[in-house]
Amino acid sequence: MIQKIRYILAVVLMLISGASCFAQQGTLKGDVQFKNGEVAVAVAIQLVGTEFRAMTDANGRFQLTNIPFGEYTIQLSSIEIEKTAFSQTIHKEEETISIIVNTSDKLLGETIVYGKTEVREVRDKGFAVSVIEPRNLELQSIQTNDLLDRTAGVRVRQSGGLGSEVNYNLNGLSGNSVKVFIDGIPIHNYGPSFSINSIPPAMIDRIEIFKGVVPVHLSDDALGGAINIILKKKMTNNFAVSYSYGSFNTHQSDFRGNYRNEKSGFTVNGGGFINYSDNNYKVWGDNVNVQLAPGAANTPVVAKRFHDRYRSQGVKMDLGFTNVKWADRLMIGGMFSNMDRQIQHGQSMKVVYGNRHMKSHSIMGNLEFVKRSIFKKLDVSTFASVSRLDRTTVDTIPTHYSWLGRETYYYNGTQPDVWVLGGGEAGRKSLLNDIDLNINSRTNLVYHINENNTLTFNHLLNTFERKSDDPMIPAAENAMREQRSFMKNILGLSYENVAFKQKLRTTVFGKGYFMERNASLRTKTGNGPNQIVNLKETNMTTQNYSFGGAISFKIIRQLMVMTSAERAVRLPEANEIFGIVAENIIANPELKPERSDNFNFGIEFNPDLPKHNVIFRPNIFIRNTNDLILRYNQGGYDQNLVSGNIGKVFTKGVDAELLYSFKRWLMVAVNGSIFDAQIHNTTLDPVSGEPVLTNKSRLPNTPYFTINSNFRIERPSLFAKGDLFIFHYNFLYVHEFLRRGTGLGGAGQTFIPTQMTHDTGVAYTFPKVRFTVSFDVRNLFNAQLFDNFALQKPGRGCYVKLTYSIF
Amino acid sequence: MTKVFSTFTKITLILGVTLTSCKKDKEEEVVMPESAYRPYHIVMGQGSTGESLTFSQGITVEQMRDANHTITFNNFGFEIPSVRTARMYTSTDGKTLYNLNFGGGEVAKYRYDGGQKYTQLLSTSVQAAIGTANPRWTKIDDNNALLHHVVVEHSYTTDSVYQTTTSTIKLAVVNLSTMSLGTVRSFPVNMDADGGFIFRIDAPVLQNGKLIYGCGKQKMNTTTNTAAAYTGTDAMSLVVDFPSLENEHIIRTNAGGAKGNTNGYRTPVAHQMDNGDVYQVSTSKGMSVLKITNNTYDASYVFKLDDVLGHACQTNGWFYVGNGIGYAPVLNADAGASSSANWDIVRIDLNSRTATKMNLGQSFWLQQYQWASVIEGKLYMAITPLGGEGRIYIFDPQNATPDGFTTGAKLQTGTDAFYLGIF
Repeated sequence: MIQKIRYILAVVLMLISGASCFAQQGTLKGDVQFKNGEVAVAVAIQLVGTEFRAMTDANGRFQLTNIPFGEYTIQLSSIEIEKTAFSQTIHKEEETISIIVNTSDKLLGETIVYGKTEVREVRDKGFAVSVIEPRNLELQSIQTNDLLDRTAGVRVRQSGGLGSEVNYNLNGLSGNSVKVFIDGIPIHNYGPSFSINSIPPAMIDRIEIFKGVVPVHLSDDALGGAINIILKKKMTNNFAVSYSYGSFNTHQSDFRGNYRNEKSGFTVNGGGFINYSDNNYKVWGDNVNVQLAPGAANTPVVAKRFHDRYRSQGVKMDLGFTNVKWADRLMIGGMFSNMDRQIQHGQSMKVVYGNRHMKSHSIMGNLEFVKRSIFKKLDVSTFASVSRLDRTTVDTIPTHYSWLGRETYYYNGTQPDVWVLGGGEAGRKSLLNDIDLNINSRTNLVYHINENNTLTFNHLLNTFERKSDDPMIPAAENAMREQRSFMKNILGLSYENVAFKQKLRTTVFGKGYFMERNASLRTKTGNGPNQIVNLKETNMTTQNYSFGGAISFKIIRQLMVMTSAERAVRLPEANEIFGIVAENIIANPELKPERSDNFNFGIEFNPDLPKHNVIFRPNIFIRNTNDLILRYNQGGYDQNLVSGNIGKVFTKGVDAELLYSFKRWLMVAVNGSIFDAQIHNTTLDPVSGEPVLTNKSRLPNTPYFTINSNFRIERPSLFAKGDLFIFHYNFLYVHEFLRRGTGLGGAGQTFIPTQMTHDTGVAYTFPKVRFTVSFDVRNLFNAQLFDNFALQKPGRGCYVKLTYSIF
Repeated sequence: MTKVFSTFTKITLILGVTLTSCKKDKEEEVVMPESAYRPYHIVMGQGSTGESLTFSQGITVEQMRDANHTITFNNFGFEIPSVRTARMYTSTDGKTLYNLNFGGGEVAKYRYDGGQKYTQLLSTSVQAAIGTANPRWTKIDDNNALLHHVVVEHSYTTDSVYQTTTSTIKLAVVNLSTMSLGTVRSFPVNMDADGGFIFRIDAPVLQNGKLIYGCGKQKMNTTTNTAAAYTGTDAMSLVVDFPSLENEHIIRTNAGGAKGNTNGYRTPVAHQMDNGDVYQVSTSKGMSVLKITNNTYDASYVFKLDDVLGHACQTNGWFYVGNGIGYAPVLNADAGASSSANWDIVRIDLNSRTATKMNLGQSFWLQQYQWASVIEGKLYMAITPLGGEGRIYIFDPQNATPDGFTTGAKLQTGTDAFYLGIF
């Protein structure tokens, strides 16, 4: 209010002074420093309400000339400082001032938006959350999956090179327990071609990883946690394009831009990417063998992968209006993406493929509307999308390949050897095509009861329908295929209270999951061309609830304590409830959702040290998971399997991150995670189905001890004024773990060996032009890396990247 | 404990060998082997849901006989490499282990070095020869094993009406000393007139230079368009010449109303007697013992376990000791399905065509029981309840009573674990 008056006053004064032909003008100059004497570089100084702007140079100095005499409000802002404003009178030809500013609360790349950063907001509520901001990392050849992998408590497991299958493990829980979102929308709506594998860091604003306890604005049945990728929606005009080339014939290019018309608020926002890699890295070891003559014993070899090419392309564009009177954002847009991936091997590297591949393309249309204070005290934001995903698995050539990189000719005369699984390499001949139609909407209403109390209501609607068709299988069998669809409604309600001068924040929430499933199965009454086809429809409606909360308490400015808990659920997948006929897995309509009582306790310690900046964030977590859905042998001669709620896992662990920065150009980040996940192994009595024997052992095939350390230098004006030099070194350690850990056996056990990965690189941005060159080396010591059993990842790779920003 | 026993055994054997050799020396110059000690392997499986682990460790006869000895796989035992599951055999002298890596499409040979140490010597990919990474195999003697796989193809008219199914049999001979493949052959077999077709063959046995394979049958259910298990009206076997794998033909029998599969699961299904006759069991619900002489079924031999024991019986195979006496894990199919714990050990007498249920005190789950060893005329089996504690049972074929056995060492299992046998 006071600012407004000052502003109006300044304008009036300026007009008055401007109107006078004999108005005198002066120069305002000075310097800006921090309390500790350090200079404040790149601080924007503005005389509010005028066009007078300047930026402090490398010595913290600035100068504004030809300012008409008068009283002004000077405003200082930068990514490093707390926004400062004060009044200043110009009544001399030369005015010199010295300004002292405070450092802002954010560290290592958080962006100030309105006072408190959005990231700060999320952390302060007390949720166990890790935030990744790509910022200058997008200048390097780095994948989004790498950014996630370097975060405390997150383990990313890939089964090969670029574009390969990925699995995320959050504090011990993985697979379907971890839900991934893009801008709050479940990622499966976007399809496999627009995923963490393909979206470049340049398109990402930040990634929030909620561990174990998920706030209502991301409500979905996330048992272990949620990963939310928030795409860039900057307000400033910018456009950047990059190209990277590197080992294994990897080419990656992306563009990212934003334009906003100041007057009308018309905004265009978008980005795109192209990824290509042959993934022809070398593999070796127990699982890489060839036969040099028909039926001869195996010879181990070092082989180059030859059928692992990955290609993806995508464009996402939105246009509309931002920051206008009637809306903060009203955007309409779409996404189109494509990908194809050759499949080099089956479950292990022992079985090699030469033709099998998959491809998919997705198209999405979306609408977004955000308005704070649409009615007094009520904020609304809504996002709706319709998407069509088309995925095809192509497996029509049964030729047998080996690690020699070609077909084998041992038993079929002049023809190559073939697999006899029905026409394909991995099974029957297949051109299986799935077309998914998704409708998705997420609406968030925030009601500010008063300054200290907020009520949030969130609704997620997701409908899914899949049509499967395989032109390779007999039409008769195709027609009998089961079709499935579902409609999911998730409602979340959360109440937040702030007390004791904003030191104590309490959030409590509840979520309701309403699911309607449908499966249609066709049966014939006989074996003739005109037999009546009966349609058997199974409908299932379920309702489940969960609840939780988070508390944070800022004991002193440097120390905050936080705790959060949630009784989370995971709704069963369609395959678990309806079974998979082709794999002898029978249905179980009685299946309940998996439940996990998740608990986190942590602190954030940020001592005030001059020159040095230290943050320490340890977090203790407990996950008590029950009713885990596992398959077991139900009986019968053909060994039918069924899914049941028979699993129980208890996990306790700690993850911690320590961030250190020196004068903002030297940064060291170390994080680690160690946990003990014990699975209760139950033997079921083959007659009664009751558990007979239960013992505990470490959850198999789960990495439980990881450390990541990152060393980074970001030095502006090192060689020339206005340039930027970056050097980085990352070391990731994953301790070995057993593939199957049941306490049985003492020799020859299969385990995934300890991984130590070193990545390093340099980047240089030329002064004046915004052109950056970077050079990166991944897996510097060419180590043999495995995230999963017998599936080797790439060896040493070198990459060059060029990035150019136009304004 | 093991060391003491093995030293003791070695001393005993050396003494025994020396004493007997003294006698023999008078007759001829014989070079005695370093040690006549034959290591046995006790094998345990874990996981009853498709993907399973297999562990092996060495064991002596003395240990097996000692009722106070406990055998455990807790933190001990060699995990036999497998992508999905392991199918193993040992050589007759117990010094070599052969394994088929089911899911990896490879066979491998290991040398036994004592305790839980098995060293891989050779491995060979069978994918190009047999066309799958999941074939089945059977060791038929110390020199050869057979790999077998059946490919089933259904054909339809253009109106999507089911017509017929063709089964293609793929066979390959494995030379166990070099682990290389010999003859490889495939040939088609047509569907029977009643719609039954061969979907699996297994458990071959050699008779008169020909291999006799047990067959598993299925039939297409045209209302759901999926194939289902089919018992049919008789039992059949597939016969091929060995080692050329040619001259394939089917032999059939309905002796005493026998019908159903003859391929079993993991247990051996057929054995050859000293006089050359082969006795095979049917492995669907309704158990018959069938006799094959000169590569054809003897229709006059009728031995139906259902009639003898008084309830519906089902088995996956049996073990032969000698003099017409064998033992079979038999399911009481009236009490439960094959995945239930209603299996018993039944002593069968092929000559008198009688059967006696062994009184082991409880019933077990024995659907996957794979191997038993004949040692000094007695049959040694390792039997445990799923996930519980069990015993080594030593069956005496001379004793026809339900208590004709002694119990030996205790066996510890683990979650979802069961003993596969003594090799």
